[in-house]
Amino acid sequence: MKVSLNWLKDYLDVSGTAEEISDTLTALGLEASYEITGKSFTGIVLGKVIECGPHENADKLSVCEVDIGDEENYTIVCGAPNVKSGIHVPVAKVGATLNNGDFKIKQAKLRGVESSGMICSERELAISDEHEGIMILDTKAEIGTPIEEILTFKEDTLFEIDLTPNRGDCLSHLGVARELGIGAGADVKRRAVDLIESANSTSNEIKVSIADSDACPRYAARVVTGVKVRPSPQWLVDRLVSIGQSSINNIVDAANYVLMDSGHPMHTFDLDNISGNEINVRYAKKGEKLTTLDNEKRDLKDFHLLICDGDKPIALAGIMGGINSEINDGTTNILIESAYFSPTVVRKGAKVLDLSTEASRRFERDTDMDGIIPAINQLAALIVEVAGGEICKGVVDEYPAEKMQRTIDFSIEKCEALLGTHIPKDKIENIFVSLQITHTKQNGSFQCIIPSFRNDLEREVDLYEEVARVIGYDNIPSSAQFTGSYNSFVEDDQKLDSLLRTQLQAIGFHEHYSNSLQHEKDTLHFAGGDAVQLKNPLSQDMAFIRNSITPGLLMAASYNEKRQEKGFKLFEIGAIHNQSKKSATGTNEKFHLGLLWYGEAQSHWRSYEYRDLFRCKGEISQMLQSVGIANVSFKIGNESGFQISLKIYSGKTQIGKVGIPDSKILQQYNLKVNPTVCDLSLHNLRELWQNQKLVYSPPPAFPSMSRDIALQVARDLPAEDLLKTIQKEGGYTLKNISLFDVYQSDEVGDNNKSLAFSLKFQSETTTLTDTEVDADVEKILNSLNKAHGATQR
Amino acid sequence: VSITDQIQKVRAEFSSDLESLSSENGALDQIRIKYLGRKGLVASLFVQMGTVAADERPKMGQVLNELKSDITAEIDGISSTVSDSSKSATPHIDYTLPGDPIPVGSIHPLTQVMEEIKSIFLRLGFSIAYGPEIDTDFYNFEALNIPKHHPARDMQDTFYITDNVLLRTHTSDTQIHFMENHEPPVRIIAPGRVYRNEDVSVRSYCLFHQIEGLYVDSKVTFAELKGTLDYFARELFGQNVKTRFRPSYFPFTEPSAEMDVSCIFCKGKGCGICKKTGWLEILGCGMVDPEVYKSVNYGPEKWTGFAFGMGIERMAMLKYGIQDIRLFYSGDVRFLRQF
Repeated sequence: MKVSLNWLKDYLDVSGTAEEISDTLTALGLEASYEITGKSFTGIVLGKVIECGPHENADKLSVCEVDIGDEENYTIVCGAPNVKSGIHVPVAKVGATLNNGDFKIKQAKLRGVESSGMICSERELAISDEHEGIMILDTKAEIGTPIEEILTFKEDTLFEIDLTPNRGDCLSHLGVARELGIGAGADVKRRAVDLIESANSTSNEIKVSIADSDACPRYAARVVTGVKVRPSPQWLVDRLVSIGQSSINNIVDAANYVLMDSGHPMHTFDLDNISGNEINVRYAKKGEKLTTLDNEKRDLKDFHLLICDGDKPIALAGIMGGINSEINDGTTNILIESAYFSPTVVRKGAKVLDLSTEASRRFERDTDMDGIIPAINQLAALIVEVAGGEICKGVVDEYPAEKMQRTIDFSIEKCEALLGTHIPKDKIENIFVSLQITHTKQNGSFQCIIPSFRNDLEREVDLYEEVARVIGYDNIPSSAQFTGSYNSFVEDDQKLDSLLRTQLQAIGFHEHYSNSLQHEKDTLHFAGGDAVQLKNPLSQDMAFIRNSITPGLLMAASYNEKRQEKGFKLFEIGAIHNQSKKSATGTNEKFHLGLLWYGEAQSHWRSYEYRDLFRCKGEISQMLQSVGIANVSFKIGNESGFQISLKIYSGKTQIGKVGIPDSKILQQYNLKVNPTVCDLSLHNLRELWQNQKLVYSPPPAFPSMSRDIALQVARDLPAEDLLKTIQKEGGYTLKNISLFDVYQSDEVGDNNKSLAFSLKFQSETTTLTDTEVDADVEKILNSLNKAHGATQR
Repeated sequence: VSITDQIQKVRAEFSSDLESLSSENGALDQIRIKYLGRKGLVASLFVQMGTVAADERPKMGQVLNELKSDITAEIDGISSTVSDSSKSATPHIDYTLPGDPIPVGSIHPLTQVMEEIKSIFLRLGFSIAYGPEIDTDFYNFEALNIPKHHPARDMQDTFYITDNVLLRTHTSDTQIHFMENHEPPVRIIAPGRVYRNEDVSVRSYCLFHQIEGLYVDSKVTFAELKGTLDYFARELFGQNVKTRFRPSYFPFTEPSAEMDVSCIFCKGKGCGICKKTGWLEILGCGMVDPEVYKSVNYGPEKWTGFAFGMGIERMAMLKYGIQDIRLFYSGDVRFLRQF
């Protein structure tokens, strides 16, 4: 909301710089910034044209000697027809700025003559649009005087206030002035309204009935007859323009002015278009429609509150008037409405129509029940002032549900306990006075009567805040020590995540955060399409909540591929969601860890890292082992969306999958290079991590023995099968198996391959002999031969 | 052929095998198997020891053992100095060649800032709690004293899944979840992802991350709130930073405040980043509103507490001078590598 300092001065003698006022408002909870309007220049002084002669090379230019109070005179080239010697003029010196700093005066050469400055017109000083000639000043002021000391400017300071929704009472100059008054310890002064009424009684012109006193507990009406609709007087236009409003006509402007001035939203009707001389406030009927002032035909719901005349709706209560009763150029008789509408009713009605107006904004934030009559009187008087006419006698004031004064008990002790500081009793009393809170002492407490415009003060704790903000939050000392209880500690069940992050960083992964709002097509491949859908998405691209961690990584891979990145590794830890009938939200949240390998390792003079699925398997195992999750194994899987996929296990628990997406996926994500992706369930990992027990065993005291075996087997025999057999037959002394060579060639035959294993044997209780180890190897070889037809090479 | 000849022959063959040793991986191991394997040439010579005359055996055994140890030493020597990829035993190696470019990864700037903030509050005795990203209207609004048809709902544009289920707009929902399941004293921070139905631009995104704080006990004061957050600001932004508290409005706190810190770029003098005010808005906070205690069945007379919440993206943008919020979610490795 924009607030003009000149306007505020109607209510209060405001002192201090714009910055100080702005700080005062901010410290009171009205976050303010400001800009100074009016004077738009710097460095303009009063000068006198000493000599004026023609320019040698230009007919329309004159060359002037100008005295601006410096030691020497300046030569200034001027193009104005009215320049002559002896006149006083505003002179922009070299270095002066115009147009709020956008235009800077420089030394210049004009058709061969050096010019040191500029003689200004009114338009150049933003005083008026006059630019036919320079401004000639009739003044006795000393030459060299800054021009702003001679001319009067409509200088103003405009405050932009970012108002919190609880402070509807500050949506006006009166409201802001009241707050400034608190800071300054001064009361606002309201001008008396000069109200002259005719003999004709308002009740002869209009009758008001209210069908629902909860929605509309008060409705006041006044009638002004014989007005003339025309443009507003200049002062009114200026006021509205100063805060960025535009002028429409004198009636509309008057209503807008009072709204911005004292804050109560009112509406003006053309009385001659109100049939039956009656106003009925009621809820809309089913299927009822109203064309509002913005020329939109509105379909109404049964919770829309309407202002109706004898036979039709004429306004959406508290939101917008109807076009059928609008003030037009021919309007002569006016009905003014000043009412109280329930905040909830107005908000509900406005929200469903997606319509927010100056009026609805204020009603939603609650309005001052006691402000209704002063406001209607102010507007009636202003209309007569700017549009002529006569005010009918009296207000028709239908007030079926009178609002009670609100009283709150206030305990100093409790206030001090909450704020943690001591506040002298007289200080609290002063604060109440400044807030217009009437208070009476009762033992150790106060009974406070809340002014009608402060609808936000409902409970004792609200008064604590008032006390705190008037004292100033910065004047409440910070406590010097912290207190706490051992009983408040709870365990963090996501501790594992940061260990994984550290390990992944160490092995070259960059952490990615992807948008969890995705297109439907992103939710179909990796999880099966039961993703959660948004009712009001920003776009179709963001209409679903991700149900897999993988698409976000693929999108990032594609993004980087387009930016010529050749090789990178990414990971993301995040929540995914699926539909679930079991939960209160109908959704199920799970945390996943996603990994992505893209492209080749950086090229180097020697190869140091193969980037293929085997490397990925290794890095997955390494990462998991680094956090103590051991016993990791992989099984061939056939996941949808993958050309090759492996299931990942720790012991018997499946913890995820890794694989290479198929060509359809590549196409969808616009990828040329095939990445490898891995998806791990963090819930499973967290559980395994929390349940792991580190068991120590002493380092072996006896030497180990190694044996290498080279096997020839059928080419399609999975190595995993051989490993399992070796493991099983090796017994407890077999401590390690490493597959160190895989060999396929003519030598071993087209259908065969050769695998070489190194086996390490060790006993905890004795030194193994060659004979024992050879016997074990023999046993292994026999079983391999029996189970897999493996022969030794 | 005498065993001595055979030994000579094996030695010669071994030398020539080493001469023609290929750079292929495993080539050296094949030689090792060929000579030293269980069925290797050396082993087969040992087998023939049985045919040697008994008196010659010790000598022959010595010769054979020499052969075995020579071959072993030669192979071990090669594999330990240059690896089997090089065939020369004493190659010229250029040690100025660059080392292997082992890439280092990065932890996302948002995680880093989040961890830093977490660590400060963990020092102050706070524990960590979590809330769901998809929540009901009750936890996100109603229980936090934001009834339906309240203008405060305009402060947060919401994504809905059904009329009653939504993507949480703040981590404050965790306050309610936690208090429902724990009796006071409560001292938690709750990090997490939150969503706003706002157009994506340089300054705003449809989601961001927050850290919520909540402390409820029998005698918590506004002065403690200030003390805690003063300490936090000094730890995060430096010991010289000043704080400013000014009144604000959140339906779930009363009194409510915004905390500003003196601008870390211009030291409070006023610059483009602080919009010439000298202050940076950092977080919202306040004393827990009694209505919130009612929602979780805490006795409002018995407990007092404070709560606060801050945006991680804003902190990270300030800390690193990042101008475009969308970079955080782009996955651009040119961005990520810098952290």
